[in-house]
Amino acid sequence: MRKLLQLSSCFMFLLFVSAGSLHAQTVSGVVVSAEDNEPLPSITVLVKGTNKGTATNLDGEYELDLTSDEFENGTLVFSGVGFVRQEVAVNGRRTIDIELATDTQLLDEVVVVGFGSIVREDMTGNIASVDSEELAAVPVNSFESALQGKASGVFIQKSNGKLGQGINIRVRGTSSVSASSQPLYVIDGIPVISESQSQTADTNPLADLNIDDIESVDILKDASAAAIYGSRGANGVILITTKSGKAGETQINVSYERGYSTETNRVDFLNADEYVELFTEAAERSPFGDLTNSDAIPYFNFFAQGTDWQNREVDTNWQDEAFQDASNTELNLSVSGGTEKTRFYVSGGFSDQIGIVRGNEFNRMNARLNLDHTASDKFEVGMNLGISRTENIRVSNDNAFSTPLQAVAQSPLSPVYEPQFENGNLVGYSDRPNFNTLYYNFIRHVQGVDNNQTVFRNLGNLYANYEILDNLEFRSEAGLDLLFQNEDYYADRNTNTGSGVNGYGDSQWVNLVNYTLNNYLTWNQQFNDNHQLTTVAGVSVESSDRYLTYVAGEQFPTDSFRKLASAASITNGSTTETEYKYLSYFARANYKFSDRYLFSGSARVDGSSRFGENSRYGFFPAVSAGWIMSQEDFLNDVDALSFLKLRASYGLTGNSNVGNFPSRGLYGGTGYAGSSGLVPSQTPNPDLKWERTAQYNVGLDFAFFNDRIGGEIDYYIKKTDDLLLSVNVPATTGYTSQLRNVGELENSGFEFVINTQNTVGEFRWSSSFNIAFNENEITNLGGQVIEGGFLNRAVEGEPIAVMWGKEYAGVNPDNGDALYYLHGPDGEKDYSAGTTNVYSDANDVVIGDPNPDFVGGITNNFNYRNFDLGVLFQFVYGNDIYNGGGRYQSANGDFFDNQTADQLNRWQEPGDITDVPEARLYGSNGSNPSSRYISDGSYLRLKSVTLGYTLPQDVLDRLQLRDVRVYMSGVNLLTFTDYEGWDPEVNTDLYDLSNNLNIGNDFYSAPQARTISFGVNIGF
Amino acid sequence: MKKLKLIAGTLLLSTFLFTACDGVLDTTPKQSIDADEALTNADNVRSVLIGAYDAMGGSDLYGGWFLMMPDLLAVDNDSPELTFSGTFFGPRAVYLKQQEYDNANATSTWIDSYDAINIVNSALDGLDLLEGSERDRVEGEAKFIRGMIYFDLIRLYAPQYEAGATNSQAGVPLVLTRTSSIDEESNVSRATVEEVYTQVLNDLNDAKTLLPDVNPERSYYANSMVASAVLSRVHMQMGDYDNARIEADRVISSGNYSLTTDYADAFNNVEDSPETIFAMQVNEQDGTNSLFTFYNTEEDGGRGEMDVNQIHLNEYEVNDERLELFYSDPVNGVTRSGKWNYIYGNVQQIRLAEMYLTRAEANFEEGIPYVGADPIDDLNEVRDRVSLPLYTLPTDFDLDDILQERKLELMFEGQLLHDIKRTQRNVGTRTYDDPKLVLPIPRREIDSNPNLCQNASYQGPSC
Repeated sequence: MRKLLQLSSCFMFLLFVSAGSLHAQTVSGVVVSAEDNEPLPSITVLVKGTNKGTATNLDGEYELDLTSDEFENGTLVFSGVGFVRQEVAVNGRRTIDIELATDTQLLDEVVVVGFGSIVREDMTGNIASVDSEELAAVPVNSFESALQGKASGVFIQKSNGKLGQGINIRVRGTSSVSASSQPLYVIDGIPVISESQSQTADTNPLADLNIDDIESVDILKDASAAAIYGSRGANGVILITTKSGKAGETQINVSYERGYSTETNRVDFLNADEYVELFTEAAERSPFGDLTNSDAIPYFNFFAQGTDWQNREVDTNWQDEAFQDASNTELNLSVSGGTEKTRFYVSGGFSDQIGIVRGNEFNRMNARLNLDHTASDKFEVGMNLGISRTENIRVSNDNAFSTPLQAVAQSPLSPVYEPQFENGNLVGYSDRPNFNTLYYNFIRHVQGVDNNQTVFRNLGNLYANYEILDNLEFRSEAGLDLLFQNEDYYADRNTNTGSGVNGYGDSQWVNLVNYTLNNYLTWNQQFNDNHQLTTVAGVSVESSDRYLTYVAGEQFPTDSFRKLASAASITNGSTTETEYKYLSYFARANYKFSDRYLFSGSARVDGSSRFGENSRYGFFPAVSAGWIMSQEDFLNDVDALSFLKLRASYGLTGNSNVGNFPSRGLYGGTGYAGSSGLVPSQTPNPDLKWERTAQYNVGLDFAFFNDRIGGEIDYYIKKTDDLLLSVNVPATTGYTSQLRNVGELENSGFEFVINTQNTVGEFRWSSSFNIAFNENEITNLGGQVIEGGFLNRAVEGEPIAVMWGKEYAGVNPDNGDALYYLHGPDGEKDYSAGTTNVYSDANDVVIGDPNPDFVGGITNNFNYRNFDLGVLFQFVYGNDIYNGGGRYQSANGDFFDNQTADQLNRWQEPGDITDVPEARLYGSNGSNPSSRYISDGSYLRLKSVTLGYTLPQDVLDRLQLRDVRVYMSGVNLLTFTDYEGWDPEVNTDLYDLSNNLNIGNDFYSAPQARTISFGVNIGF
Repeated sequence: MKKLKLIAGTLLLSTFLFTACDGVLDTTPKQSIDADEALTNADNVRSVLIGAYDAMGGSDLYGGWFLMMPDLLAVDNDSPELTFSGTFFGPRAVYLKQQEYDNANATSTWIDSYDAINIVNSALDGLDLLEGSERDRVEGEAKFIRGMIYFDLIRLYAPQYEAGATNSQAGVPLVLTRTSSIDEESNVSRATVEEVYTQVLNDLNDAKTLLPDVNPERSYYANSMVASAVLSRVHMQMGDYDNARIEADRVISSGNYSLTTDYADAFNNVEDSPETIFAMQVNEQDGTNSLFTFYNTEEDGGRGEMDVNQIHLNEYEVNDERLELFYSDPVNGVTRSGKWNYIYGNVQQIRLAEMYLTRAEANFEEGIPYVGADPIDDLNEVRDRVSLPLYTLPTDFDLDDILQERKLELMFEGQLLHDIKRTQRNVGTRTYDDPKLVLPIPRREIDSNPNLCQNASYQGPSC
C-alpha cells in the first residue's frame, strides 16, 4: 500500500496546482491513520469543487490557503490511495486533524495499463485489479489460482490436481473457435511466454513466477483497455507488476509456510463383494452368455492371482493407492529499501510440493532483483530480473493406463503387489508390483519411470526513462524472456514402455527466446485548470524463437543407466526451429476536462509474420469516455453519494494465436526406410488475416456513504468476426482442414462488483462480492462442423463447445435396455418422436453446455485487534461436464473395469425402475457416449480461509522486530456441488488447452487438492 | 535552449522509434519448404515418392488398420475365433459390427488413404522433371501405390464387386490429380465400383508394364512382380479367375521368391524374407507396426487385445505347424497369434504362399488347361511346409478345402473378409453383402462434402 502512495505522489504535481489567493486564510492539520495513529504522508487535501489542494508531508502535516468564502463555507476532501475519502466542512476552523480509515475500494488506486498507468477514478475502460495482499491471502502455487473468485469476469479453471498443470483462463468468454483464447500475459511491460512447452499434457509456464514477488495484477478486459495490445488483446491482457524497492530503511521479510493436502473428494467404487456380485450377474446376462468366451470365473481367478477371492482375501481400494498424503513447504526471503537515488528489491524463494497423486512433485527455486536508479532529476534507469528453476516430477496424462487415477479401473480382487504364499497360504506381498492386473498397474510406472520436466526461466527487462521536458518523457524498455526446458524421461524394464526394448529414454529440450523492445514517448499537459491531456506514442518490436532438440533411445545395459549416453540404440532424434515476429506502432491519448469528463482514444497498428503478404498489418483503434457525475453540481447535494462515474467504450482487438506459418502452402520432410521424403503438408491461404473482436462496454462506478459501499456495474458485447477457423475440408483433397477467416461469434455479459465496509473501528469487517454473467453464441460458422474434446462441437446458434450427441432416456423397465431419445434430424429436439434401444437410430442433439452462466466470488475480511480472518467463497454456475471415463466406470459392467457404486442400482427384473441399465458384460448396454455421462458442473467452494494473528507492537519492540504475523489457512475446504465425478473444477489434460472446443471434459482427472497450511511472516 | 533540446530530442527519438522496418517481419519456416519450391527438380519428385511410401506405411493404412479392420469385421461374434478385448471404441465397434459413421478408425483410415493418394498425385505431377527409366520407375511405383490404396478403399468402403454385373453401386471418390487449392471442385462425388476397379486395374497394369522385375533402387520398393501379385488379388476380388491365375503364375514362375523353410520364418522379419513379395519397412527410426501393438502381449510392450479363441485353434488339423506360432500370453494366459511379434518387424502385405493358393483356387475354378501347376501341387506346396499330409488325388479336396487352407495360411493377415465376400460366404449369420461388413463414409466427409452419399445402414444421404 505504501508503494502505491509513492506512485500516486508522482501524479500530485499534475493533479493539484495550488491557486493562491490574496485573501488567504490558512488551514492546517495532521492526517493520521485510523488504524494505528501513524501519520500519513501524501494524502491529498483538496477544496471540494476546485483544483485547489495540497498533499501531506512525511509527518502527515498539511497547510492550505483558502479564500474567505472557502474558509467559511468550503469543504475539504481528504483522500489517499488505500484510504476512505473523507469530506469535512471547514466552518472557519484553522486546525483540522483527520483520521483516515483504510479503504478497500481503491478508487484512487493506481491501475497499470499498457505503456503507463492511470488512477482508477479516471479510468474509462474496465480493468480488474488484484493486489499482493489479496494474492497472499490464498496460499496456492500459481498466481492464477489466487485470482479465482476475485477478478470479476475472469473464469479460471485448473485442469486437475496434478502440480504445475495447465490453467484455462477466459476473460469475458471464449472469443474464438480455432485460435487460442488464453489471455496475453505482460510482466513489467514485457509480453511473456505463457503457452505450454510440454510434449505431453499442458504445463503452465507462469508457475515459474513466485507469487510473493508480485505487487499487483491488472486484467484489461474491455477493448479500450486492451486495444493498445492490438492483435493480441482480444482475449484480455493480464498485466503483472513485480515488487520494487522504496527509499527508506531496509526491510527484511521472511516467510515460511508448511501445508498438508489431500484430495477434495473421492468417488465410491465397488468393493470386492459388490464387484463379484455385479460381474457374475453381468456375465450371466451377457449376449455372449457362452461361458467358454466370457466365463467370469477364470477372470476372477486371474485378478486374484492365487489369493482366495471366494473369501475376498483381497479387497483393494485402488484410490488408496492412487492418492497420497501431500505436503508443501515454502520459504521466501525478501530485502528491499534504498535511498532516494537507488531503490532495490531482492528476493529469493524455495518451494517444495508433493502432490496428491502418487509420484507427483513440484519444486521451485527463484530469485529476483528489481533495481531502480534515479541518475538525475531527468534520468532514471532500472532493471528487473527474475530467475527461476522449477522441477516438475510428472505423472502420465489422464488417458494413460499409467496415470494414478486410472487405477480405479482395476478390479478390487487384484492385489497391488505380488502376493507371497507359503504352503498355499497368503503370507504377504513383495515390493514388486503385481504385473497381472486387468489393466497396466500404474505402480510399475511409479517405481520405474523418471518423468522430470525442468525449466530454467530468466525473465528480465531493462528500462531507461528520460524526461526531455517537464511534461515530456521518453521511455525505452528492453525485455528478454528466456525459457529452457528439459523433459527427461526414462522407463525401465519393468514398465510397459521399457519392457520390450530393455529400457526406453528420451529427452526433449526446448530453448525459447523472446525479446521485446518498446520505445515510447509520454506527454502530459495541463492546459489551464480544466484540461488535462496524457498521451503516449511508440513502437514495439517482438521476436520469438523456439528451438527444440529431441533424442530417444532404447537398449540400456541395466536400469541403473538412465541417460541416453548408455542407450545402445538411438531410435529418434530431431531438432526443429520456428519463429514469429511482431512490429507494432501504438498511440493513446487520455483527456480529462474539468475533473469530470474523461475521454480516451488509442490505436495500434500491428504487423505479424504469421499472416499472408496480402494482409500483414492490422489496425486496432479504440475510443472511450467517462463522466464523473458526482463532480457535477446537481449531485453535490446527494450526501449519500460519494462517487459516481458513467463510462462507455468501443474498440477493436485481434487474435493471432495460431501457428507460425498458417498462410503458406508447405511441404514437410519425412522418411521411409532410411531415405528422406517430401510430402505436402499445408495448402496456401495468402489472404489469411487476424480475427477481429469489436467490443462495446458501458459501465457505472459508484460509491456511497463516504465510500463505505462502492462498486462497478458493466455490460459488454464482444463480437468476433473473420474467425480464424480451422475449416474442415474434404479429406479427399489430401488435407483435413484449412485455416480461413470464416464465421462470427458473440459474447455478451454483465459484471457486477460491490465492496462494502460493514463495520469500521476496532472490529472491522469488509466484504467484496463479484459476479459475472457471460453468454456465448456462435452466430455464423459458414456451415462448418468443428469438433473437439469427446463430444464438443461448434454449432451455429449455440454457445461454443456444446456437447453434441445422443440423449439418454433411461432404462426400459420391461427388459433393462438402455434407451435414447430419437429426436429429429439436424439437431432438432423432438421428444414426441419417442425413444429407441438402438443407439445408432437416435439423432444427435445438443446435450450439454460446458460454459458457465455465471462465475464469481465473495470475500469477507474481519479484523479485530491483532486478529485477521479472511474467507473467500468462489462459485461457478450452469456448466456441464462430460465424464469421458463414464463409459468404463459407470457402464453397468460393460468391461471388467471396476464400477462406481451407483451401478449397483442396475435393472435386474421386469418392473425395476432405475436409470442404470441391465448389467451385460461386453454388451454395450447404455455405455455409448450420451448425456448419461453428463452432469452439472456448478459448484460453490470455500476457496480459502485464513486466520492470522499479528504480534502486538510492544511485543515486537521487545523482540526488536518490525512485524510478525502467524497464520493458518485452508484452501478448497468445502465444495458444494452435484457433480458426480471427483471434482467439478476439471478439464482433462488428455486434450490440449489451446483448443477452445476442449472444455468441460473429465477423464480420470485427478481432483484438486484440499490444503491446510500454517505460516509465519517476519519483518525485520 | 529548452526548445532546441526538445527538437534535438524529438529528432533523436524519431530515428530511434521509427527506423524499424517491414523486413523485421520476414520469417521462413525451418522444417518446411514453400509448395512452389517443392516440385521444381527431379530430386524433390523422387523424395515425394518416398513420402508416399511413408504415408502408405502409416498405422491407419498398411502399417496396421488396412489389415486389422477387415479381420475384425470377419469375426462371427456368435462364435468368435478372435476376440477384441481392447478399450478403444473404434476397433471395438467394428469388431461388434456396431460401427457408426463417426467411427474413429474408419475415419482416420479414410483420411490417411487420401493423404497418401494426394502425395502420389503430387509425385505424378512432377513426372516431366524426370527422364527415361527414372521417369518410368517413379510413375510405375506411384501408380502402384495409388492402385493398391484404391483397391483397399473400394473393398472396405463400398459393396463387393459383383462379377458379371454392371457395378454401378457407389464406390469411393476418385482423385487423380494433385490438390493445389481447395474450392467447390474439391467436393468430389463417389465414382462407381466399376470405375474404381477400372482405375485400380489401369494403375496396377501401368505399374506392371513400367517397372522392371526387380527394383533397381531398393529391393523393397514396388516392382513389376509386386504389381502382378496385387493384380492377382484384384482379379480374384472381381471373380476374374483367369487373369488372377495368370498374374499369380507370373509371380511364382519368376523364381524371384521362395517359401521359407519354417512357417514362422515368414513373419517378424527385419529384412524381407525370400517369401515376402511386398512389405512395409519398419525400423527403429521410422515406420509403424500397429499390428504388433494390438496383437502382442503387454509383457513385451504391446496392448494384447487380439485374443485368439479355442474355436479358432480347433480349425487346424493336428500337427499343423502353423499352430506352433500361437503362444499363451504370460500376462493373462490368453492365446495370441505370433505373426506380429516384433515391434520393428516389417509389416508384410503379400507373400508367395498366397500366390500358390490363388493359383490353386483360380485354376480349380477356371479348370483346365491349368496355368502353371495343378491345384493339388500348389496346395501341397503350402501344406508340405507345415508338415500336413499331402493330397494325393484330385478328389481328396474341394473348393472348401482350398478356401480353408487359404484362411488358415493367411489368418490375421487381413485377407479373410475379402475372401469371404468374393466367394459370397457368410460371416456368422451375416451374408457377404451385409451392410455392416462395409465401412461407413466418415461423418466428417459427409459433413464437409455435400456431394457424397452414404453406404446402406449408416447416417447420411443415401446413394
